[in-house]
Amino acid sequence: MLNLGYCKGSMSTASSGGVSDQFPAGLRVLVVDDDPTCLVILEKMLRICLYEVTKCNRAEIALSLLRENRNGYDIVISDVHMPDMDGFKLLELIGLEMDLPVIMMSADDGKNVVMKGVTHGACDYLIKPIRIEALKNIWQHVVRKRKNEYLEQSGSVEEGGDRLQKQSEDADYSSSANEGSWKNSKRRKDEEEEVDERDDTSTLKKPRVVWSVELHQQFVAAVNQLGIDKAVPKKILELMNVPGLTRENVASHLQKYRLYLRRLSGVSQHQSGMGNSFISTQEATYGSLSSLNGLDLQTLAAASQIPAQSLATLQAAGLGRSTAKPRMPMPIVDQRNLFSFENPKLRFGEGQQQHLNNGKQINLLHGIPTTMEPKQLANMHHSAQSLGSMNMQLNAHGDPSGSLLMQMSQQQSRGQILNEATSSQVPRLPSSIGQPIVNNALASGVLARNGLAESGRGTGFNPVSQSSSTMNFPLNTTAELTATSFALGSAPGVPSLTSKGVFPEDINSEIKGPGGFIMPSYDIFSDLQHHRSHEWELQNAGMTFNGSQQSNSLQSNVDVASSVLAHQGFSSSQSNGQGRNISAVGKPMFSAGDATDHVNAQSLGQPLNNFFAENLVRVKTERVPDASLQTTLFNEQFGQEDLMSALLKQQQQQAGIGPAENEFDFDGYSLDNIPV
Amino acid sequence: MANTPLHQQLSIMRQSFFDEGLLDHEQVSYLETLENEDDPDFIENLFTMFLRDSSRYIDSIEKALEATPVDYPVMERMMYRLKGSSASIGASKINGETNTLRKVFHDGDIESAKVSLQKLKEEHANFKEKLVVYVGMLKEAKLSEY
Repeated sequence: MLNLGYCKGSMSTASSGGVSDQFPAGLRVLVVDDDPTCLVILEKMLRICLYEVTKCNRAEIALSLLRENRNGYDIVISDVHMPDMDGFKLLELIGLEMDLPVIMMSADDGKNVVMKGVTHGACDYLIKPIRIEALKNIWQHVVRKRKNEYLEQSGSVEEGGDRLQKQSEDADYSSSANEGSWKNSKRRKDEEEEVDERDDTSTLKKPRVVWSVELHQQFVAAVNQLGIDKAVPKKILELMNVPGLTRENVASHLQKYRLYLRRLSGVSQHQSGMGNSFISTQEATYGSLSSLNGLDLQTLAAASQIPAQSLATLQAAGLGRSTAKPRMPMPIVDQRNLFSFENPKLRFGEGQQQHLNNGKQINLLHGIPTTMEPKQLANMHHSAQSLGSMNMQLNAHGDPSGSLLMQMSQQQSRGQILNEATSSQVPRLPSSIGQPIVNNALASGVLARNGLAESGRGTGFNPVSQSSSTMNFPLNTTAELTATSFALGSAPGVPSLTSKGVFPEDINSEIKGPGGFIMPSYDIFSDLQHHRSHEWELQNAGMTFNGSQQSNSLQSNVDVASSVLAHQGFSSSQSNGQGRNISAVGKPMFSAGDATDHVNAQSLGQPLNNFFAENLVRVKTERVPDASLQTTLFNEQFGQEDLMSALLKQQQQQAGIGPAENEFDFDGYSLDNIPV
Repeated sequence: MANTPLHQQLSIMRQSFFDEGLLDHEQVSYLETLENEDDPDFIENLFTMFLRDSSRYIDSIEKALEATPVDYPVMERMMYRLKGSSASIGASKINGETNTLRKVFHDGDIESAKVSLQKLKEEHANFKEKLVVYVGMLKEAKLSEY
């Protein structure tokens, strides 16, 4: 592999300041584990491998070490369970902020936990007791990452969604993926002007850009301004007008962002077991819509003709689940702008027609058998999108959207969302930036939820409006999105999803129901997903949700949102490092009660990321009050099903279609009782 | 290692750990290979650390389990840590008992968990007693070489 060799050389140079000959000796490893015995053993083994080892026993310490010395480490190895922060959250943060490869390790070898590692972007997962053989080759992850970064930069967004999609789907860490993206990048390289730059060792070595909150917000604003499909690094760079920022920086960040958005949408889908995600997406859409343009959700609702009741139900469902709503990383809300309100409207129209077409709808929903109104989908899509953008900006919100969310779920989510939204996570942004993508997804989901709920309610749901960041989704939107358990949106954790850009894959996997994911109709979803992921990427690129495109995007959004939500669910549980620790890892989301407790604990102050993740998760769980929804689908943490059910129900109500139409058989849930 | 009576004793004791299933032969041998001249006290330090930490973890687990309401997060964390550290040094029986406790605990049966914890404590006490002797002998053997 010429790249590999090349990378290797440059990498070693970059990493060890000239130890190329001895590479991988001198690899700078940061080990994080709260158990002293394990830490000592690991350190010993790593030293034997001739690596430079730094050990710490707290995630926070690790983060500060990494932040203080951004280019001081090549790879991080972290345990999953840590007292001050969930390992997965740390994983996401590192991926987003520093873009370092992270290896997770655990005494647990449960499939779910390992899956979480994958979905959160871990480049490897080691089971204790760890052997030195496992550590000898960790350098490959460093090389691979650098190589991918290089490739991604050369091929960046400009290539269009295909490439990115391909790359992201290729998962940075899998060899097969690498080959795929490699090929792409190779091709691109030839075409790209950057190729020349790339060949420059310095490119590989270039110092990492710290995507601060402000920078990220600028980025998101630029992306939104350009439109997700038109947002190419070059233009984004121009719009941002940040001295010293290179196109490559933007390109790689854009890719992550897209992945994040995808993850958000994917998560949402997962969570609701299709239904939820769908709902969330929809809601998110709604939310985003309203917030985006400050349009009243009601208006939207009216436009989309979503029965208030349905919305309420959805919201309730969503809210019900997410006790922890506040978690939503509201920061994303700011992104509302990204979503264009108009779009949703368009969606509605489209949705309507599709509405009758149950099957179609399902597609949108991602498997949500219910006849989610296309509009809803659209909304979701929007929301999802907005969420994405919102995530980025959620911090800014302070959210009134939270209030919206509250309505939805009235319960917890309310508090959560608001919290999240209000927590404005601005401070959080830095960490959430990494997560924004995730949040966005959440936000989208949340927004969708809100949107749905709102319309039903006629509350003029503006979940998003408040902070104008329609994204209310996860970050801010959480509150807005749907007070319902939707808190998912707020799941700051969402960001964690995208931590490493593993998002695309995660979504797919999630959708497919890894470990029992939900989606009964996941095949649809996956189809959509693939289809959509492409679109999603495009859309994400623009972060602006275009209603017109939505029909397709909706679907994809939904898919993405679902997956994102689903992911988020994961992440949120984990991200809640704030103490929330949803310790939900693997905890079924459906236990709304549990989730709620956990989530609720989350204070607004929690980082957006957490918010999202948690909210998303929460939202979902709460959604399914009755768990009749087949929620048990994986979304371990979310009650996606609830959302789905609610969503489906709503659709049914709207379309007059009976539950039977739902592929997912969500008949169980009863949205009607959700207090609006 | 010289073949003095002390070393022989050490060897016998070491083997008895394996025979009784207290320590995993493979893991311990593996750890021993990590020891070298630069860090000759690696194994004894490891065992000492484990003895100290595992006692703490078990105490925490007991407290958490006795608390009302049961302190779930602490339980989870402590059990997880104990599982990880015992696996890392090859303390098989302790690892096994911890797994049993985790399972019972996750099943929601607090009473059974308490019973399981008692068993774990017994195993731990037994292991500790023997390991303390072994570590002492290790130190002594090393010193005798200087």
